[in-house]
Amino acid sequence: MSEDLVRIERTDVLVAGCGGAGMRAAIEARAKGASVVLLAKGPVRANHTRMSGGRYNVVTGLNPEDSVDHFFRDTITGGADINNQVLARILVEEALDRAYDLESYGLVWERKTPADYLVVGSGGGSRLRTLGSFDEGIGVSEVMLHRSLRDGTVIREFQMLVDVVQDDDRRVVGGLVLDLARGQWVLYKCGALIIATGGTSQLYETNSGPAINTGDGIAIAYRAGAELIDIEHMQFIPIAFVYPPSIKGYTLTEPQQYGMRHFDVKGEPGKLLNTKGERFILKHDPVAREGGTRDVLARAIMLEILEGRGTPEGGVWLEPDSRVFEAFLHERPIYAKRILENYGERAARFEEPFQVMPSALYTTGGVRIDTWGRTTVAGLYAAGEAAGGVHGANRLGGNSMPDIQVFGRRAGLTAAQESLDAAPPSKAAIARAEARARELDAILLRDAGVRPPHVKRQVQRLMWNQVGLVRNGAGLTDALTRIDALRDQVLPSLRVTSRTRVVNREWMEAIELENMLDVAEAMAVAALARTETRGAHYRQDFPTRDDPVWLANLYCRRVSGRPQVEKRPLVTLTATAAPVGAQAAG
Amino acid sequence: MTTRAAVRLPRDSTRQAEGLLLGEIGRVLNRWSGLVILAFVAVHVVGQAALRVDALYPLLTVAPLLASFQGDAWVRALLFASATYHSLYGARLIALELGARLSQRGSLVTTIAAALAVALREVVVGAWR
Amino acid sequence: MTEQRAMRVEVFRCDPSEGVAPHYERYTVEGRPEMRVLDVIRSIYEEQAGDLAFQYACRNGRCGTCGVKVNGTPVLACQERAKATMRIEPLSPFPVLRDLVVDRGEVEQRYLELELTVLREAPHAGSRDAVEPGRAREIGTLGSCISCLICVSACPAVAERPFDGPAFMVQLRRLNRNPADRGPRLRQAVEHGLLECFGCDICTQLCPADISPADVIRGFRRDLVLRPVAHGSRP
Repeated sequence: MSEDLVRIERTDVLVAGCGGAGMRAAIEARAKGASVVLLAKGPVRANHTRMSGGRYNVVTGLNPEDSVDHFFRDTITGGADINNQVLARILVEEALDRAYDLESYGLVWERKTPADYLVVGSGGGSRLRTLGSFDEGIGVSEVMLHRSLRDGTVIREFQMLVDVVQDDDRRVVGGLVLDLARGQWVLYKCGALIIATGGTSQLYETNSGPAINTGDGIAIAYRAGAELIDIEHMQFIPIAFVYPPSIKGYTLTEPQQYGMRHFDVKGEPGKLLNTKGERFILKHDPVAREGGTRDVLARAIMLEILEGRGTPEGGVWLEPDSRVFEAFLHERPIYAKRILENYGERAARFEEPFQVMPSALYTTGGVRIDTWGRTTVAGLYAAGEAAGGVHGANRLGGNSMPDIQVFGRRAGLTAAQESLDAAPPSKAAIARAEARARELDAILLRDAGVRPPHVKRQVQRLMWNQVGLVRNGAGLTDALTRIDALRDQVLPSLRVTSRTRVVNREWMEAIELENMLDVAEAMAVAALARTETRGAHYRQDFPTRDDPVWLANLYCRRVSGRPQVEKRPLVTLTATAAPVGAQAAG
Repeated sequence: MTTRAAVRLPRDSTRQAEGLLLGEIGRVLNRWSGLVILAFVAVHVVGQAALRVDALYPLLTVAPLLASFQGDAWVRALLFASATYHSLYGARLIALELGARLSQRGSLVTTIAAALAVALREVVVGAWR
Repeated sequence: MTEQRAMRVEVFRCDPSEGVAPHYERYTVEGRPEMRVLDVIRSIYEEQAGDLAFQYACRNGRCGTCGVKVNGTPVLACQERAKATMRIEPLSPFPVLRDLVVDRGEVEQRYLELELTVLREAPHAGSRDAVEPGRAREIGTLGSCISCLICVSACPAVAERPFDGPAFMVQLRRLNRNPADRGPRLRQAVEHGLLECFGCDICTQLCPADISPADVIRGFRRDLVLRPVAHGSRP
């Protein structure tokens, strides 16, 4: 193949992903003097951070009843006790400094008085500790973008990281990138590559994520030999829009937001009712009720729907407390607007109940990282939703915003320092990258076959039904068989309508499908292995939590082309932190 | 429909391409009315000059209307409507610049209505004469 | 639309890389209740024209990347309701990469030149900034701008005058109103066309984030008159 196939570029640090984690990593790497190129798969504002409500859990000192220990406890309890406690401790301790960083970039936290931030509650929080800005996730992503631009991060849009380039010792020395705007291949030689590509929400039929979150970075890291952790845990937001189809699945935050519980931990949240008018959460969690954690709520709602007590449209009813309407409108006007536009004025005014359903939101597990964002592959780092371990089996609402800041920064800092050690890629490494590019170019040339959009829908339906909120051994085994079939028979026969190289969506989706299937397979294998119910992972055949056997994490690695899982003890504060690449001390 | 005095919700932005672009209508009418005023003044000056300056008198044999068109009821209607519209629109712009809170639809409708009323008066009174 | 019926859709197509000149292609799409323009576009892509190039991500009006013109009006495809007859075109005046996808590189370049991050006198103190609640709300409102560029696309002054566009004024105001920012925002606004605005409020009418860029511009202009700025320093 001609040397024109792959254009070569060079940078110290290559960041894949334009959300909060990627941006924060870029800012920090630039601060350490590294040259940074940040790749966005589409326009730079298309990311999951953008879509977030931007709620930020942190101990500011403004609530005398709260402390870092309480925040830590809530995080571990919310994670069903399998969080990496060292990472969780770092999260709760560094959240405040990172909140100030955001403020320094131009994010203005809402407040009641000039000096004091407004502090509210969130699901699973035993104390009020949640901050927010009026511009929500939009504000977070915008201030970080402008700060990154000013600091000299080179941001390139329509650049899809397809694979990493590894030397013979498996060290990552570059990234193979498809320039979607021009249809050209680019090999970025880099000293360090940070995976900040977000999660896997697009694997599910009903989801709350952006179209680009097809698990690319997680799959790329997995194929490169990195370990994944807790990959069986997928968080479903309990309440999301049920209709119309255009907004189906978009989060409506949490039931606690719709009641006095948002302002007072003893208050009532918005109530969830089935078609019989029963407040079904009382069967599952009579203490926290609708103010509890997302895993319990989502499962409860899903079971009501599956057992026939849901609405014809496929949801249950949320009954908001009309007394908090004005506060809600004041705090979350964007959500009020969407409720108005899709559910009508009475629902928007909290004058009548409206329909809600669970929706795939957040990949709780992901690429295993150490405290400094290193994966188990040299030269490869991860942060944000793509990384795993911080949140255990379930993430608290409001914990993702500090996560991306805290671990984004750590990954950027480390990447900048360690990029100086890097050697340029060998000829063999470049040849491998070119071969991969040729392989993916071949998709454009196939004359017959099946088009990606239909296969994508198949995968999404399969995952929703069998690797979703309600799982069992038979369904998971069957899912694996189907995923294998899709990979072996369908993937090699994907074709596109047009050979144009510029912004070819089908081509992009064909490449995404390989990533989706890799991650789907890992998720299904891990879900099959964990024979208990914990957090978001609910097994009908093992419906209870089994601490004696399963108070542990599942680590997943690619062995002979298949995911292999291994159970290992927790990383606790008392045990020594496991060195990267080795088994944790028991 | 809610009947009690209610807190205002954010607006529904899902039909942006369905309504009229009020700002465009207002702006374009302002431009045309301005051009009408300028055109009127230009023609009127030339016409009056032709009456008074010997060298220009021949223009009136070619275009006799130059000196008399301002008497036509329709011309006056168009001029007065334009002047009304243009002045009110200008006043509206100034008020907004100074911080006044005006309804875009309400103030535009009022401006157009005033211009039409003035035009109508000219035509009716002119026709009656 | 609330009832099922066939929609007649004309979509702008072009591919500069393959020499395909701009033209329109017609599609008929079965309407479903409550469809948005994005649903129609995706339906065409999935069922009729697999080579259609279009952009979207969040589906609910937060990323701002799905802007298109529908029947001549710039809108967010994911928000705008589908209509029985539609002409869908890429967002003008940006260069078209292919079909409905535009290149916003020049906009990002202009954003970069404006340095739209808080330019502090001294580093952040590591403690809470003091900001009046009303001011925090004002900045947060301006910060809700999703940079969808609908206002820039629709602005008649952008088309005729040396004016970058309403969105730039909103971004400058966001910084200008932040007590910690020391940037020459008013001067930047004037340099980028603050005085060219016609005051027509088309931007206000079309903004999907419920911001009034025209009011932002008026606020800036009042500052200019009432609090004139010396070169390089803020008012």
